[in-house]
Amino acid sequence: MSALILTLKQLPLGRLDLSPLMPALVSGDISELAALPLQIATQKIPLGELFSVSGSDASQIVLQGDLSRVDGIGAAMQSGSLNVEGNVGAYLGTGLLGGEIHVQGDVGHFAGVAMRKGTIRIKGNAGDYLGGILPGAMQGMAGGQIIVLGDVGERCGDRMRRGAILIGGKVGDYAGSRMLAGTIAAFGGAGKHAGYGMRRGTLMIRGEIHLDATFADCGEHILPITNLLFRSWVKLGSPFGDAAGKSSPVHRFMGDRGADGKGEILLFK
Amino acid sequence: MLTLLKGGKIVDPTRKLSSVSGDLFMRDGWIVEGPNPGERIDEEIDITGRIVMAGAIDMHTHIGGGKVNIARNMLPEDHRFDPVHRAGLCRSGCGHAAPSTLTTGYRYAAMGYTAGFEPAMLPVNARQAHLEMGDTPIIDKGAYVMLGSDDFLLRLMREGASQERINDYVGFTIASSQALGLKVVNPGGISDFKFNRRALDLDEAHSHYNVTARQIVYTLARALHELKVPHPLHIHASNLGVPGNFQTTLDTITGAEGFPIHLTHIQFHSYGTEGDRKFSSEAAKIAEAINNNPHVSADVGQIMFGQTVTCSGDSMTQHRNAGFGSPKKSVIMDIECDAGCGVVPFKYKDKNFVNALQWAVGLEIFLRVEDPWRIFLTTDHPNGAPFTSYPHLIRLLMDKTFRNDALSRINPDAAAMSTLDSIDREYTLDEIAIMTRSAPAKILGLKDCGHLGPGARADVVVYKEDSDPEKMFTAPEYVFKNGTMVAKNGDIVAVTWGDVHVVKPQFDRSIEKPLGEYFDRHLTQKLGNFKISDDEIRDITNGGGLRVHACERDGRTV
Ligand SMILES: [Zn+2]
Repeated sequence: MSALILTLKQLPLGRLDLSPLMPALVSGDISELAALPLQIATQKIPLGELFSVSGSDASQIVLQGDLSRVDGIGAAMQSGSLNVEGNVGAYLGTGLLGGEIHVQGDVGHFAGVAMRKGTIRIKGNAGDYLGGILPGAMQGMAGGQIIVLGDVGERCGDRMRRGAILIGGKVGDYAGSRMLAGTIAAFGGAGKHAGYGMRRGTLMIRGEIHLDATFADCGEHILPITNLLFRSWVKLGSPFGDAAGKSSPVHRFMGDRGADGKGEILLFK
Repeated sequence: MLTLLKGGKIVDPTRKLSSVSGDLFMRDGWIVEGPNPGERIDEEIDITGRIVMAGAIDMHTHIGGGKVNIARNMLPEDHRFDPVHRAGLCRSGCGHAAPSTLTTGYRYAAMGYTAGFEPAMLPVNARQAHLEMGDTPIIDKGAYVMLGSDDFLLRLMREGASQERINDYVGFTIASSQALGLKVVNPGGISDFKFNRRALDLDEAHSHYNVTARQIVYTLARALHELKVPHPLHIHASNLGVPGNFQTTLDTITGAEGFPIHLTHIQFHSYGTEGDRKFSSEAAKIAEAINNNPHVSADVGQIMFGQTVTCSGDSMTQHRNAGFGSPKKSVIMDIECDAGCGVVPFKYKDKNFVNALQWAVGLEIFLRVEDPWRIFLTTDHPNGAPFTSYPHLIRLLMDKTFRNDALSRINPDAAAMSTLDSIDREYTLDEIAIMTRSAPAKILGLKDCGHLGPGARADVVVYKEDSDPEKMFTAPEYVFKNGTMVAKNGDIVAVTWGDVHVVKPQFDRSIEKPLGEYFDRHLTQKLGNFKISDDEIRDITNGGGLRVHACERDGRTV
C-alpha cells in the first residue's frame, strides 16, 4: 500500500477545519473519505472537492499544497505518521493521542494543545500557545513531545501538565505560563515574564532572559538530572545535543511565588 | 390560510380524546372547528395513522438568565464535543448541556416541544433573562420570578407587614419583571448564606431577619393565591440533596397549610438516611404525600448519567457541592439584594452509588405518583440532564423491560436499595401526553396551549408510532408552531419566534413609594428602569407576541 496523499487544490478563501479527518480515518472507510464534510467558513464542503486524494495507507499520510489556512491538521490522531510539506494553520495536532506529525514549514497558533501522547516535529516556527490549552480547559498539553527548530510565540506550554517542549530558537513572552508540570527547554532565549503563574514544572533557557521578581534565585548547581536530559537530546541533533557532556552548572530560580512557587527556571550554557 | 391535517389519531387528554381518529384544522395560527361555509382548504397533509398531540411544554427548564449564561461560559470543554455549525436555516451555536439560545430553540422544536419556562428569574436579572429567551427561536417562553431570599421581602416580614402589603410587593415584582409565576428557592437560605450560615432548615430562624423558611413558604403561597395567579408557588425546598431531606419536603407540604404549591425537582428532595451509607430512597413516602394532597404538584428533575452542569439560585447548596464538580470548577455568586446563584459542572455516573440511587429515586417518584396531572416530566434541564434526554426518559417510563435492563447496569448496591424493579407500571401514551402537554398548560393557566381544541394555538406535533418510544419522541414527523410547520423528521424547516407568556396580577401601586426609596438607597438601578414594559418585551422577542393570561382561580383547595 502506498501512503495516503491529500493535495489541497487551492488556498481556501476562509479557514478550513480539517479536524474531522483523523477520527473519520479511524472509524470510517477510506473509500468514503472524499464525501467527508468539512467546515469551511460557513459552509460544509466534501473533502473530495477540496483535496485530490491518492494512495490508501492511512498509517502514513502526506498533506500537500498551501495549507496555511487549514486548521486542525492531525487533530486527535492516534498512530502512524503525518507529513506536511509546507506551512499550516492553527490547532495542528490538537488533542494528539499518538503517532508522529512532521511539518516542514511554520505552524500557526495553538499547535499541540491538549495533546496527550505522540510527537510533533516542526522545522520552522510555531505560533502562540504551543502545547498549551484549549480555551477554557483546565489542563494544557498532558504528554508527548513537541520539537521546534525555529522560534515559538507567546504563552508556550500554558497550563501544561506533562511532556516536553524543545525549542531550537527563542520562546516568546509568558513561556510556561500557569504551568502545572512538564519540561520546556529553549535554546535561543526567552521573552518577558517567563514562568508567569507557574505552579510546578521546569523551564530551561539558554541565552537571554529577563526574570520576574517573583522568582527566587537559588544559586548555581550541578544537577545530575540535567546532564541526563542533555545526553538524551543528543539524538535530536543541533542545537539540542549541544549542551551534552559539559557538566556545567545550571543557575536555578524558583517560582512563580505569586502562584504555588514550586516551579523552576534553569539557565544553562 | 386553512390547513387540514387529515386522518391522524388525536391524543388530547384535555378533551379526553385517546387516539381518536379525526381531522384537525388550523387557520392562521389557531386550531379551528372546520372550514367556514364555502371556505377553501389551502393545504391538506395526509397523516393517516399518525399520532397527533399538542406541542409539548417544558414547565421547568433553565433557558435564560444570568446563571445559564455563566454555565455557557464555563463549559467550553462540553461545547467542544457538540459543535453546532451553521446549517440550512439554523445559525451556529453550541450544544449539549448548556446550549446557546439558538440551539436551545431549534432542539426543543425538533423534539416536538413548543414552549419552555425558565423557573428562576431573579428580579434584578429579569431583563437579561428576557433578552436571552427572546433570542430563543420557535418555542414560547415565560419565567417564574424568584423571591424569598430578597432583602425587601425579609424586611417586610421582620417588621410584621400585613399580608396585603406583601401581596402588593409580590404583585409588583411579577408584573414589573414580566413573569408568569413566582418561585422560591431554599427559602431564606440564599440570604442567610451571606450571613455565613451553611444550612437552613424549614423551622430555623434566619440569623438576621429572624423569619423561618416555613413562614416564607406560607406567606408567598398565600400571596399568589390571593393575587389569583394561576400557577401556585413554585418551591425549590430547603436542604436540596441532603440525606434525610424527605422530612423537610413533607414539612414543606404541611407548611403551605393547604394553599396550592408546586414542588420542583422533587427527586433531589426525597432522600433518607437508611443503609450503610446513610443515603436511601424515600420516594415512596414523597409519592404518597403527593397522592394524598391534591393541592400539591411536582416536577421530577430526573437525573441521567453523563456530563451536565448544575445551575441553581441555591448558592448555599451549590457552595456545599462545589467540591464535587467535574470538571473541577464552580461559580458561586451573590446577586445584589435579591439572592445568589451557583453553577457547578457535574458528571452523573451509573457506577456511583449516590448517582445511581438518585436515578432510581426519580423514576420511583414518576411511577408511584398516581395522578399524571400533578407530576411533570423534567430533568430540571440542565441540572439532572440536558432536555435532549427526554425521549430516553419517556422510554424508561413506558417500557418496563427497558427500565429493568437499565436498572441492572447501575451500581448494584444502589439497585438493591431501590424498589424500582418491583414496580410494574408502564406509562401510557395518554399519560405521557398529560404530563408533557395537558397538565403543564393547566397548572400554568395557559388556556390556549396544551390541547387541540378549537381556540387553541396551532402548536401541533405529529408522531410516527413506533414500538420504541425513544425513537418516536426524538424526531416527530411534523411539528407546527402557531400553524407553521417548523420541523420535519428532526430537521428545522422554518424558524419562527414564539410568544412570551405573562400574568399581570392586580396590586396597590402605593407599594412603589417605599420601593422607590429602597431602590434609590440599596440597588444599582432606579425603580423606573427596573420595570420592563410590554413594548420592551415585544421589541426583544424578534416578532413573537406577548400573551397575558388571566389571573383567576377557584377557591382554596383544602
Ligand atoms: Zn430548576
